[in-house]
Amino acid sequence: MATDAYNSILDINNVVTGGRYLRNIHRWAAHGLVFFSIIHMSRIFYTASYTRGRSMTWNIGICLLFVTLFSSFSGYLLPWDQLGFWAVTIASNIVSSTRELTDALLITAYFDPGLIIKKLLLGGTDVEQNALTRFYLLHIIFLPLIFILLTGWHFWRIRKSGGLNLPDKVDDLVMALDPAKKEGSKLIKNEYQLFSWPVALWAELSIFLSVLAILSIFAFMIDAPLKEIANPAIPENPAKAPWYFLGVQELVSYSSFGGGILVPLLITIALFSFPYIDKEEKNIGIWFSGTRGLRVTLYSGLFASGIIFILSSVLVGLGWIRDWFPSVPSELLIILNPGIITAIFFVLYSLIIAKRTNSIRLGAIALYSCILTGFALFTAIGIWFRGPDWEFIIWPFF
Amino acid sequence: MEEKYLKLYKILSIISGLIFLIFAFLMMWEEIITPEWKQYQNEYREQLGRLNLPPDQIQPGSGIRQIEIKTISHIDRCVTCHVTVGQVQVDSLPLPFSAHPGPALEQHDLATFACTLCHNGSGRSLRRSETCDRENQYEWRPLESQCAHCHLAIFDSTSVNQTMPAISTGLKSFIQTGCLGCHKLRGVGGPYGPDLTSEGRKILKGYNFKNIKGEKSIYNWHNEHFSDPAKTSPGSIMPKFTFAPPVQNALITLLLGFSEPSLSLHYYDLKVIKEFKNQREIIGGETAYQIFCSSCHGASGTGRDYKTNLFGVPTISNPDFQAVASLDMISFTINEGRGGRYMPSWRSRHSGLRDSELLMLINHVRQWRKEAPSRQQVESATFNIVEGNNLYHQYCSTCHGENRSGGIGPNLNNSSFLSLATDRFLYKTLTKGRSNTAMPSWSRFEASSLKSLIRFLQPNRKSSNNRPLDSDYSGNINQGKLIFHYQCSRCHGSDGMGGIGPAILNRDFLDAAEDEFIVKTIKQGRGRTPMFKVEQSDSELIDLVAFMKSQRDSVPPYLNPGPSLGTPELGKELFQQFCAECHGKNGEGIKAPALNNQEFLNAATNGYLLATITLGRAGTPMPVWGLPDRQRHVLTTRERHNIVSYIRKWQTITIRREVSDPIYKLLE
Repeated sequence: MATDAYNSILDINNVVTGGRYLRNIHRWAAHGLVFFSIIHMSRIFYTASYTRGRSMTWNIGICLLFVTLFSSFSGYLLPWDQLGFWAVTIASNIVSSTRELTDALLITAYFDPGLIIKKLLLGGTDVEQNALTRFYLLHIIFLPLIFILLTGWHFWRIRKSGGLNLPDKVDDLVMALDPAKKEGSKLIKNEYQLFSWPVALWAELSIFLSVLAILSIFAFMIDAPLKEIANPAIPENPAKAPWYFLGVQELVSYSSFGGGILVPLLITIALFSFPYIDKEEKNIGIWFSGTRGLRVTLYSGLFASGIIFILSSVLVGLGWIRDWFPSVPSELLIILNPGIITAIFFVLYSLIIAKRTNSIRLGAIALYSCILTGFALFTAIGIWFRGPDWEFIIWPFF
Repeated sequence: MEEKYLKLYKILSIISGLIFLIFAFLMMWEEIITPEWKQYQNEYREQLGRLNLPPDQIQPGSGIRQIEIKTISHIDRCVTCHVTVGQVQVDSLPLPFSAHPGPALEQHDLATFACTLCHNGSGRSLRRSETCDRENQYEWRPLESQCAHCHLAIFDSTSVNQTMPAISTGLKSFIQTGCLGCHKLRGVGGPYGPDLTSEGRKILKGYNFKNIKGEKSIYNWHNEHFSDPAKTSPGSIMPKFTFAPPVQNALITLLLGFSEPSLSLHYYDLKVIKEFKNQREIIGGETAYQIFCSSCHGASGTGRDYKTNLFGVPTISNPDFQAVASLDMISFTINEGRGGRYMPSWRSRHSGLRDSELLMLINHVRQWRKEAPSRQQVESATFNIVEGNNLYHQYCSTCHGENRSGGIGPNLNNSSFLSLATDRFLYKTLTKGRSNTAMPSWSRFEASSLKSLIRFLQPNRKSSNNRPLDSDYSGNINQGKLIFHYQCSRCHGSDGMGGIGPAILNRDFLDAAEDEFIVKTIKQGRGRTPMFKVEQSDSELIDLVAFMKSQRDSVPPYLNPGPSLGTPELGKELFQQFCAECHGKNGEGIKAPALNNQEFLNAATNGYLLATITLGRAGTPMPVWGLPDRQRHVLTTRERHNIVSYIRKWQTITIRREVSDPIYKLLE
């Protein structure tokens, strides 16, 4: 029963010994996992560690990112409070936003993939008992199993490839950072390599303990949120998805198909295809592939911020096409909305970078940096700058 | 190299491990040694120690205690801190150790009701900030509202007693204010406001506090909403109310007590469940008027002024309205409402009211027509021909002619007529009028005035031959219908609602006229009028009369507007000249009711319009246009006919009455 789900959380919080703290640790650890997955992915990307036979490892990693997101998302509903209920309702609506396209093509009545996915996910058209049962099983059995399998594979691939993807020679590393200095062409293997025992083990133990320490501080200081029991009659306003989907929700507020399906799909394709586009053997294992890459990264970040800032300002200050020309067909807005335009700018920008630097690596760095900046900024807008009725708040902190 | 890293990692591990241990210890400390509820229990023990009670009276209470209602899997842990509740109660202890006040616990067994079923709040929580509803000033609702959840039957006046004073006051005011004219509650009410059935279940998040100036609590939301609904909820048409503060508080208490049963049904009063199972008590006519109509039409049916209000409401207790409006018109209006106006259709399927209740409501509205003196009173009253003469010239001559030679109404100076019109016929005609024709009811006259008027019209007393009304006339109705169609309908209208001749299939006419009156008029005709002798055999005559009588209780599928005898083009000029200022150039209604409203045109017959124009509406800005008056311009009969025809031209649709509605069958 759905109400029992909520009551059981109250019991965990109040009568189960240590329950409240365990729940807090679980909550913050889950958020941390999503956050650090993205950080980890960025590290791998910027050191070009997906090259040299590691493309499979990278792709498993991307899959793990999605499993992480889905795990966190499925856990979000389980307390059955207003927060989780409406977040999942929003997210499941994002999933079914292909309908905007099928509506435009007038084929929704015959073929409605959004509805199919939604029904598959929720066991119905609304978040109800079925959805809770499905999410519960996903959260405690299927996703953990997939997690274990993929993580095992991921680690096995890493060991097979010989750990970190380091440059071959000390030279490469030093040259890339400071071309004036030259130390010789010793093999890095002999110079810098350390043994698993005891160094790596101690390193991992220390990281494990510090994560535990940080989590215990969080768990002690900040209680995991628990709102009123889920009530389908009273929507949260604003109803927000979990933070890692807020960037997508922001895009969906422009156009549900463009933001909810097209842009995430493009990003996914880009992420999966990086190892296959970028075949360059140079500067592997070096942060940003050297100083040029760092410059490209910074410029890309600035460029992406600028684009998003301008488009958001236009959107907030002057409105969008619908406000200027009320009679435009809604099909046009599927394409011409800030989300898609941002994406087009990002792609064009990285193509130009790749062309001008004559390096696909640098183009990829530009694209990834743009995506990362976009994700961060749209997520920030979704978290802090959107108030009731999804209205823009210009000064959320005052 | 290795040593450098190893050292760093080891230090980091030790520091992190220590931090973790410290915080793990802190968590255990907070969880096991100093939880909030333990502090309360310690305080309680201290208080007991101070009182020096004999030890057998002391119930120190230790550990988490809870009351579980297994049947609805409900758990309340309130008694962990409110230690004394359900145990030995010690007087003179402060909250949360004070004894449970009042007799409520005797009627509500703790094991069955626990705490939060009445007190609200999250009973499973053990922290004050998460538990007690009362602590959260924004969520706070009056305790009495919670009583109402299980005990308040809205349409059963016996359900609320002295144990719920605020609910009782609130309900009284709720009914008198006429809230259900707009709002629906438990399936009954008007369509304009939000449904109030679950108002008490709404949580804080369900309210919009954008325009709330004061405290952003549920209670204050209702407070400010009552004072200025349109400001609190933009676009709301709810009028501003100025209740006395205690009444307003009682109303809010009541509102927050509206809720649908959500627990197992044995928690609720039978009356309450019945209301939700559509078996509520019958609402009487007077109560129905108060609950559903009084918010617009006023407690005494005076309506609302068109000049000062956002939307005006016609007066329905006005004697002139009551004199000219037929029951058909009233019931049609209640059934169909007025499209585009704030008068909804009160038909059962829209309003949730039962047919019998609607009938009582219609009868309640009719009560404002002054009851006519009884026939005996009129018979025994003294009369004065001069008074009759004066009355005739004051009220009747405008339609029946200066010398009774007829006009809008028939010729009353006709020897054929006078030879047949009995006192009973005249009495019935005067007091009832002729529904849906221009002949209003003159029930407002005193017995002596009626007698004088009757004697003035009919100097010699003439009694009926007392023949039972439908003795022999059981002829072939279908045959009679044919005869009526060929012989009578040319002048009396195809529905017998009048034309050149009077409305003779009118219910009131058939009530008033004796068989002799009908038969002799048909056989002999009426001298010096177009009514000719109808040459028919006796059996055919019987068929005809049988048909006419059968029409008394028939309900035609629509309200026949009756003959339209004027010229609309001429009426248009007159309308623009005399009526447009208030009723609008196109009859859209500016300072007076809208006339180009299809529901109005379907409810109002030409006779009603003509009579209204002629008599005016005393006490409203509608002047008298037909009665002789030296001060002002009076419209001639023809002019009034023209205006009526012009108004009638606006009618574009004919709304069918649902004659299967028992309401029409039950009418009188």
